Amino acid sequence: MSTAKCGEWSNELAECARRGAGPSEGLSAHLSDCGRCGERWEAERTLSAELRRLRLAHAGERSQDVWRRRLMAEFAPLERSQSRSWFRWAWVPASVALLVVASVQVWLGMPGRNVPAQLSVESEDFAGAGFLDIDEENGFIPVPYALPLATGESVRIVRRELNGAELVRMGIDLPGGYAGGLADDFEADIVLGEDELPRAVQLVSYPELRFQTGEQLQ
Amino acid sequence: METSDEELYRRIRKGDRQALAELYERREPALYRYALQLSGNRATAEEAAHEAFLRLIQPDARFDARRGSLEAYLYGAVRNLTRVAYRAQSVGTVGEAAVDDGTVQTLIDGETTRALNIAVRNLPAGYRDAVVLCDLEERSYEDAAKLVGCPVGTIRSRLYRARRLLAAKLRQYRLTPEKIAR
Repeated sequence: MSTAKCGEWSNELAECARRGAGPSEGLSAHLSDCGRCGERWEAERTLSAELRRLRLAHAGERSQDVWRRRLMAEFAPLERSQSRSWFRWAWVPASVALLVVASVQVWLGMPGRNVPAQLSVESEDFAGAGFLDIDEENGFIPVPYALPLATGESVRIVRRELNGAELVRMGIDLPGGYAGGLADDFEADIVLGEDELPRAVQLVSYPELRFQTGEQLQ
Repeated sequence: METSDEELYRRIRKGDRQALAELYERREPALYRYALQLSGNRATAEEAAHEAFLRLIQPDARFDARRGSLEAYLYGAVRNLTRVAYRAQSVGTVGEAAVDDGTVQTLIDGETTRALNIAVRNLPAGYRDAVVLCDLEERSYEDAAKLVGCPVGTIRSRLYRARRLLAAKLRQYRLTPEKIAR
């Protein structure tokens, strides 16, 4: 029997034995002729049968529950950290948006902006705070069209320089002698409500105007 | 259509618990069997399969889809963990006890099959992988090659040689049963 011929059948022999299939006609003829290959055929078939038994022994029933629970318990912190990570990233656009809004508000509140009802409260001199009755007897000129102070509403008084134009925009008329001096600066105490909007003005640098309102001047 | 392992992994990284449960159900039983067949020890197999998943959910998990499938990654992790455990077992015990822990052996019906179990575990690592994946897990040559990370031809030749070795061991066992585990 030539070894070369055994080599030709070697792969088929092994594969048939592995799969538990019967030999083809050609292989069958070779096995009956070659004692060595016949022995190998039997050895391979026995091995395959034993491996099948081994496979069945390993495929026994088993519960994964305990291990699954352990894994899920281990996963929980990761799950939380992933959520935190998402939350952390969400802060970036939120912070940017907040910064933009704050910048816009600061810009809108800058002196010289044409919004008299939103005068800057970052005043030079803090004059006082507390409760106040706004009337002309204590020297304050009410800002026309401003909402009245609620009963018990606390106020803040800030001191700053306003020019004539700003006073006019707030609705406070200048007396005849000053009507042309819109560029003149007037030192004033401004009463701000809890909403930080001006409610009344007292001119400090021109005391002669202190008790005059727009109505009186007309 | 079934969601791919890799897609499940992406969802797991985003904290999706359901995806982890699905991947676990799909892959853990086979990983456990693989570890059991490599180690012959149920406790080792349970730990190895569990540890492979634990590694997968860690923030610093090293799985990279460009380098292979998630299944191959899990099999690789189990293979390494089992080898480490097996080595530690072998160092910690002496002689026969190192290979025959009695855990799985008691479940195997028949002296010859028990002897074969020991012989499989004593094969060189590459041969053992080929036998376990192709003959015990019944994976195709192509699948086995992907899981081990080698060409299909290598798996075929390893399996061929491993089976020749095992057949010889069985023949020897029939002649002198007490020597099989050596």
